[in-house]
Amino acid sequence: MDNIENTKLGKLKIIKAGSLCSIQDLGRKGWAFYAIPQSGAMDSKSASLANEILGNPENNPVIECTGIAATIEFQSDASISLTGGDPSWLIDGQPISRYKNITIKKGQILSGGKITHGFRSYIAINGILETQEIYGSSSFYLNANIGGHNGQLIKAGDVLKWHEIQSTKATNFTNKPRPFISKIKLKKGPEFDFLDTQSKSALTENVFYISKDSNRMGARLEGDKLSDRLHCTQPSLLNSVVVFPGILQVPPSGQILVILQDGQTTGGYPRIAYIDASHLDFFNQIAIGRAVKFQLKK
Amino acid sequence: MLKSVQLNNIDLEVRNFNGDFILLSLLSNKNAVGLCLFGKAILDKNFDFIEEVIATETEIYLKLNKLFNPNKLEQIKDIEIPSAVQSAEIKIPIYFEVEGDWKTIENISGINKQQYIEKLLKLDFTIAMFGFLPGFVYMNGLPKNMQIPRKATAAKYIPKNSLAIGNQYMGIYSLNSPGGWNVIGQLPISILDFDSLPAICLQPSDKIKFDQIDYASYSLLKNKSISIKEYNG
Repeated sequence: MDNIENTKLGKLKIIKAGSLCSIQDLGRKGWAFYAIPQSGAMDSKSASLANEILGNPENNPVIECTGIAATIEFQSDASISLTGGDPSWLIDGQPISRYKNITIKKGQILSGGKITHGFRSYIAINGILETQEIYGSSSFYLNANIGGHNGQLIKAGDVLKWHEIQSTKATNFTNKPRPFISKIKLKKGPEFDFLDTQSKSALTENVFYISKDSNRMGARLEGDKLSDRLHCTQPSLLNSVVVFPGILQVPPSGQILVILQDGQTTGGYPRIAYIDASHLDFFNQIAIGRAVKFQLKK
Repeated sequence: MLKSVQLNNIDLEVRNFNGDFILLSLLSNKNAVGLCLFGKAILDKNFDFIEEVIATETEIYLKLNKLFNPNKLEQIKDIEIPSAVQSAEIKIPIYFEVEGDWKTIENISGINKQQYIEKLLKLDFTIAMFGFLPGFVYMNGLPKNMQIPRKATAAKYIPKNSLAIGNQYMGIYSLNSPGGWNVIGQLPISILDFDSLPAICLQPSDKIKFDQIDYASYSLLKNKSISIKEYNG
């Protein structure tokens, strides 16, 4: 990144952005003590893969689309890669595959629809996006309005600029799409034994759904049956305890609450389990309204 | 592996969750003074096997990485914890003429706003922990008869820099947020500054005193946007 000022500048214009489109990298690490969440790509593996395909550093900031693809007019030539969920990407109306190095020309338009086989799609550019960098991370964090594009979500009309970098890999490097997995591995949390016997079985036998009341801070899970509400013998804790991305809490309502990337760092409900680190990316690709099943690691 | 560590003669239980994280927890409901300070001391050591440290008044969380092995944990036994006596004394200016939740506070405490403020200004508070949102500080020091329970239903919007009461704690909402605490006043300046390292100018065990300010000082300080450090000269 030496002499970044001398590198060629690229530009793109956002024509349409979904309601939750932002710039993310692999997160703001080491500040959780001060209740500053890590943030970062919800599917970190897909984000770093997008960079790997272009020969970028894996922590290079990327564009994260949620639920629906952004429509982008490239105002400079660029090499890009598209990973994560599948919004049926198009360039000037022509279908384009994900997980490969794509050349896009000045004036061409990248677009797509509703994201399927996942919930979040990533766009990496062979360059370093101009971002607001806070504590070594470009990840946008909504509550504090820091990081990303001027501390804001990406919206229609925004112009993003990037500094071109030399790729270190062959330009035809491709990768297989990541699998979509909705059976999520759990490990027992500190208060697992607060769950009554029925709730312990419900946790792994029942099917839960991602509630529409979910965001980058946390996901609420709902079910059709009364037994989908879990019951703890001690519904709330006497003192505040630590929570972190991937942990499952059971509030008095019995509806599981999963803390995610932008989530708080302390809470007061029993922490019954946590998502295995290798499966948090998969969990975050499950769309609102879609089913999730848990598998408890012995 | 290490089963427990002693902190100021209090036993902390060490629980290893599959090498993913470690919790150091108070075994009983003993006084937890110093636990958060211990967390800060661990954080300051920058151990290669620890990714994140989070501390509350009853537990410390250590997020582990691949460099962790159980022997490395022995190192935390030797950490010297700074004595709370050495902690800084910090004044925080508060403008109390806000609508806030004074009605609730008068009803529950049984004293009027003016009496409540007079008592509050005489008290010393201590930074107990961070949590909830960036820069949100929990402060101990509110006597039982001045404690106000959290609201049953959280308010949708609490403006940033609000001083509020939630059960035994005083807290500062450093960002606009929904919240269930009872608002009593407004800080003219933010305690959260992402241009500084760390972003919060307060540390666990710091002693806090509140200064009552009038509207003129509130506006002046707000417009100057000075830091808490500068305010304390």
